Amino acid sequence: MMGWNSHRWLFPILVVAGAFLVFVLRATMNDYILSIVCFAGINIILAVSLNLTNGFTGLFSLGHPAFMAVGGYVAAILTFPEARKAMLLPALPYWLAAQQWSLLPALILGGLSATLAAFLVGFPVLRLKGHYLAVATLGFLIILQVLIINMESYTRGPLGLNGLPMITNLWWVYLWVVITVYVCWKIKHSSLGRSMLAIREDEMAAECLGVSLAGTRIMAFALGAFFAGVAGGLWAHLVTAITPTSFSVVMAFNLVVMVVVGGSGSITGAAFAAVMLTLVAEFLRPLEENLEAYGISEIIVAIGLLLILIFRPQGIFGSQEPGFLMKPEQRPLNSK
Amino acid sequence: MDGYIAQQLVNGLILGSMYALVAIGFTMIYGIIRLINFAHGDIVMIGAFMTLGLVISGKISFPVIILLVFIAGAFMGTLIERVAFRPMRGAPQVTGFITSLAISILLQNLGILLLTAQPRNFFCPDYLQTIYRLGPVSLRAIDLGIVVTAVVLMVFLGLLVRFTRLGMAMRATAENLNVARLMGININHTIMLAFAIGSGLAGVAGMMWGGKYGQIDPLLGFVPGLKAFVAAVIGGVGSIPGAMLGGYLLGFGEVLFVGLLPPIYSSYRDAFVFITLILILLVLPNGLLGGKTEEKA
Amino acid sequence: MLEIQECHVYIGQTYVLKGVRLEVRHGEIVALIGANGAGKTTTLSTISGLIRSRRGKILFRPDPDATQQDITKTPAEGIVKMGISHCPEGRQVFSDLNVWENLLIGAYLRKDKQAVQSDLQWVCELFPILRNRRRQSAGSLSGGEQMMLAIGRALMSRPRLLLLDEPSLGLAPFMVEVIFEMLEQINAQGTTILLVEQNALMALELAQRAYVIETGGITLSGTGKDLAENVAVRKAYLGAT
Repeated sequence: MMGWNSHRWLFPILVVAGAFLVFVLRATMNDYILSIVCFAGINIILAVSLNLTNGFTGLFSLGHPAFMAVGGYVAAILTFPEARKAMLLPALPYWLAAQQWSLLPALILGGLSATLAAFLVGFPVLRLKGHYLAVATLGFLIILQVLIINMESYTRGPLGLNGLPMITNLWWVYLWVVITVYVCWKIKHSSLGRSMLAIREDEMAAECLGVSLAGTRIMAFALGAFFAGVAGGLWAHLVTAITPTSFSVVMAFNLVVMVVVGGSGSITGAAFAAVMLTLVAEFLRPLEENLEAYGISEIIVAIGLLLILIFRPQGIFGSQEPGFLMKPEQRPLNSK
Repeated sequence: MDGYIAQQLVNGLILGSMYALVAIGFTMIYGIIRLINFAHGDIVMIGAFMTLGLVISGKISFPVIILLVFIAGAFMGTLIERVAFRPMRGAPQVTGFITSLAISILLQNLGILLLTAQPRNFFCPDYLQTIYRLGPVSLRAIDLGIVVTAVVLMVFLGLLVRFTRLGMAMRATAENLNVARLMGININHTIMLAFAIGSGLAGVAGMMWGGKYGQIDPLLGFVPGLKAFVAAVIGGVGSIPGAMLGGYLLGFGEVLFVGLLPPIYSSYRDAFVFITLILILLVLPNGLLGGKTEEKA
Repeated sequence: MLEIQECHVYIGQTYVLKGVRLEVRHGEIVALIGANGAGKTTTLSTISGLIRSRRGKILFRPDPDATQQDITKTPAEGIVKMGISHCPEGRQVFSDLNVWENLLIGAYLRKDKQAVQSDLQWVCELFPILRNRRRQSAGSLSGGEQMMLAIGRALMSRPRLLLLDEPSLGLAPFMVEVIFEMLEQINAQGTTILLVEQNALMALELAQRAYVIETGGITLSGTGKDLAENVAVRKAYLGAT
């Protein structure tokens, strides 16, 4: 089947194939479908990056939406046209008000801001373990929400920012999906990735082997946060609005579902589950609206998660990637 | 004592009573199965709505309503235990947490589905609205009722846990599940009992919550649930007296935070609560009264 | 009284007991000695129902004239009812409860209040220190006192068979002697004992019969005296060179 060096061509081939698909979609589909594909892509970025923290390293974080919020707000403030800034955020400091950036640098700065936040929060909080870490990250999410609501001169408080330039399109999303997947794939098969998996399996043993617990944990947390920040920026410029409640506990839950259902530690699994969840939510939305049965989609997501936890707790893909995607020497000896 | 401070302390007492009730249930469950029941707060919500339904449906006296709400909460709690927690026994800690998170989301959205997300006005009979004045402090009859009911329930619980055979069995199971089995204790029953009592208390707390704040909606359980968790951690998870202490401390702390700082800061109250949580988890992970070594870091 | 027939026990994926065969007769003290990890605790836990064996049978006859029962699949709560009491490794008293409550909880399943009270007295005669400390939290007791409490607690269910897991663990030699003397008394008063021990010397002195378990299987059996004189046993467990 796949022979000697074929895996080296596999990635470029997939990227080109994906680009071709994007081209075709943009040429043929209407805006609604395109936006759904964009959401799916953003969810892939979120799920794959959360997988770094939760899946690979076993750090159960509910804080991903907070990093989305940081990245989203930073990017939004930077891309806002000057005129609008003056109107909506009159109290903004002059040096900020004068900025008007294009999407890419705004996204990157958003991501870096999120990374900074991750470092700040991570140092104290990553000492905790298990469900205490989960609740602490949830606490961080709430604290951040309160901060955003109160820093009105920067964020317009509870009203949020609207009228953001709709500059997210499928190409940008695709670019970042490729970057995220590439980076996470590389990490997974590097020594950093092995350190992360070692920590997940047995911390004491990992420490004995020389793995720096604190360092690896912070790296995992910060890297995940970067991509979450970028995703937040992409999201904000797709929806063209951003409010303190955009990134909530429900979103944290949905992201955790993606990681768990897909398989903690599997990039393919996370991506797959992200797409599935986006489709399920979209499919059920008209149902919710027509029957006025709001809440059904979340109920189904929750039940789905419970079923997976009972019947296949390792997730659909476990920690593996599909065999044909891996280098021959990386495939498990007795692949199922 | 300055009248303003006295009033704040009384308000703290009322809020603390509600937090304490929810925190006790939370800590009972954690003490016995070492898992955070994220859905605990949603039982508060169920209690609130059940009370509204009972009050609207007819002239039922309040003590009976308290009993019925307790039973409803207990029933929901045992159902959750049976359906979600028992299959997960033996699974890793985080799996249990995700499960209870899923149940919480499930309950909240069932509430939205069946009751709509619109807040509803809680019906509070006039006689409970009468205001009493004790010196510089004033409180409504219902506030007094909240504190009294909470104290009575807590005393009952203390007696049950300390002096009855069942209470002894619960304490033993909480400490060492396997050795409790070696004594012949049916741990399934003990765990179910802990869930039932704890959730019953949460249900009653829901009734109080509705009475105090006047408006209820299906998402109301989230915040009290988390704050009860914070209270339990402050007092030491697993310790019932700790939960009581933590509940009151949190109640006082929150009210004084809002009451004593300039009004700009009052919207920071929730942030204050969670910063306290993170600090306690880092600095004093066993809480104030907890003695057992827990894996925190 | 107790018969373990070819039990195979797995803990998770690990194959721990590989066809264990063991017998305890009424009124005896039987010792099970072996190194760490050999499977001693697992054997006791399988008898007491905390672990279930994958293959094999465990048969129990409480009294010489009672019917033999298959207790292989009986859960821990049921085993206590049948008259087998397991005093676990490391004492594991309930430190949340006081001494009195620890003893009472040993009698959790019993309904005969008078008899329970008289048994309390009996246990306090065996271990007088427990009466002195009865209101103290069990966690505040010394190691030896906790061992006495654990044994007393196990006796409160009036077991026909007492399973003891390493009573000498962590105790000063003097205390070990005291405990073992008490065990002799308890046995003389009618309780059959199956004793698991690392301290082979004391165990073989006390027991009428003994088994040696190594990596999940019984390798030797015989009277306590015979095993104590067995060359291989002396080399491996009694420190002979």
